[in-house]
Amino acid sequence: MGKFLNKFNRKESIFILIIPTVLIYFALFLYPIFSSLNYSFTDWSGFGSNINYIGLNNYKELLGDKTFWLSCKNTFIYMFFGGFFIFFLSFLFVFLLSNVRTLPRKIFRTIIVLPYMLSPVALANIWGYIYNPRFGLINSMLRLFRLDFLAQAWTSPKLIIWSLSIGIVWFQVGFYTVILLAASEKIPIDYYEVADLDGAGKFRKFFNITIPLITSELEVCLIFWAITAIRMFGFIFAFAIAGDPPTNTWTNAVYMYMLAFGKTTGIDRFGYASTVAVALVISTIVVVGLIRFLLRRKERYEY
Amino acid sequence: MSIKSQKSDKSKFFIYMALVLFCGFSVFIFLWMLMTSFKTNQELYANVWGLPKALNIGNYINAWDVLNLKYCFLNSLIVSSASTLILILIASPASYVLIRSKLKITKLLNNLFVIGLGIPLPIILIPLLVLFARLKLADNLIGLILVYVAVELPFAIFLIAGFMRSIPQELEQASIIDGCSYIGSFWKIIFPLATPGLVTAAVFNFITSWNEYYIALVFINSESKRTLSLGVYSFQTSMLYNADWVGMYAGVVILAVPTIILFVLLSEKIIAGMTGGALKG
Repeated sequence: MGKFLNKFNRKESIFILIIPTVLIYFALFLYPIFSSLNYSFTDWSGFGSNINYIGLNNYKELLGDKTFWLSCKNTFIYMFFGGFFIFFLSFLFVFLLSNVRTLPRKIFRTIIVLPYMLSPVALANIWGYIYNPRFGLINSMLRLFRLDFLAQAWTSPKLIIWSLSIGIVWFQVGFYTVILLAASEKIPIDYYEVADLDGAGKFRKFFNITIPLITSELEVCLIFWAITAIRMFGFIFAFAIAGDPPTNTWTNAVYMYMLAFGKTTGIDRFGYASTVAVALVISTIVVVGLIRFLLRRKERYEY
Repeated sequence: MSIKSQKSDKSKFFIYMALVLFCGFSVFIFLWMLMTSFKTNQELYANVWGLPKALNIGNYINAWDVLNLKYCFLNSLIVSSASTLILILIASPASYVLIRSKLKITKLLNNLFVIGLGIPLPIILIPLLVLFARLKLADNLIGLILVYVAVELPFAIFLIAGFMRSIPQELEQASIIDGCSYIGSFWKIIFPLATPGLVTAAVFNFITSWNEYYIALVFINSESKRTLSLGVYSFQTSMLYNADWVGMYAGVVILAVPTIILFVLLSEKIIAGMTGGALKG
């Protein structure tokens, strides 16, 4: 084996080590991106070989497409309403967890992040159970305390997007808590010791030392959350017990799926679905660029 | 002194209370789901708070045998294990080249993988389905494995390369002086030393593939090739006709328990993988 390997020079060895990855990545990841871009200029249904290039027609249709804009609005609700609670709770948990001893900290952390590790289908069923009007957790609890008048159809068209957002907060918050907690654990302990000597309390140390020193990780988290919100699919799709989820819960990703593979709406429009997918990539780039621009800093804290 | 420590005891109490409240909610939900999966539908409707009268495992037998979740379970096991194995075998030599070689082309490749981290999946689904239909790999577990390998490559390389960077270069240089080839020094020196990083990437990828739902929904049509997430999802559809809530919750437990066990046993490694990726970025 050793002798055989010695026959290759350095460049050949590099080639051998990396070629399987490069082949798979180019064929099954990069090529499809450009192929989608190509389809987005066609009227292809997805079946047969009848493909006509129709220029920018799909993009013109997209700009006037009410369902597309509705899915953008929904994505924004998930991103901002859900995001607000995700980051509020993450900071709260980082503060709380950094004030408990190592063993309970690890146990709490594991439980907080556990929902993030579950299949979206399992999560959707868990929240379907919580919101079930007849025997769900919330309404049963309200009835138990004789608060029947507060019991609602939590999944009615008016409430469903807010209900879904709360479910999303529950299973996403652990991921950001874990990352921000790890970032805060990297801060040298001397900083806190000096603050102790100055008589700073827990809150003061958290706001004046911890938060400023984890801003670069916070930026990564915000970008990651924005990307997650834009491509959110499984939880929303599986939350509809059967058939298609209601339009007022769709994200861009769900709309794209419906156009190409949906059971009832706008089936078999691979060309137009590709246009929506391209719009999804563009909005990802714009949102990530915006976050980077808004959080650009002149000074970086080094330690 | 005593006033200060009393105050600190009080704030400690509130801190623990807040954490117990949130974690308690999560644990309660899991236990409630588990409890309901042992009930009968009549018991569920009659009293949602009551414990099941007998430990009724009928729901599990029904889900496992009659609704054939056993095949879905097996399919998920095959797809997750195979995609993880292939991913680690191809991503670790690639990561090694990407961090050590100073060629222009490898730097370009590195950038392409970083971009891949942010590409949303919907953009690759349609062309992949078209390609796989042509190759007779659509509605096929091998096809699904290949897609999982491709979409997980950027993150796996990110994790593994991040770990390999911490291995000192002197070790390989010494081995090459001793007459070891480039590939040999990867295989004999770096691969074994990177094992902790590889295990993290493998566990992380296994859980991601096990839970994956979007791609499977697009690629798999036949009932016999469904993964577990798809199987439980199709359970929901049959719910429309027979309202078998407790049966469905048994399916959800079957779907969730393997990842819960894996996560509780290996949470240190998995969390290290999650944070390792973000903290270096």
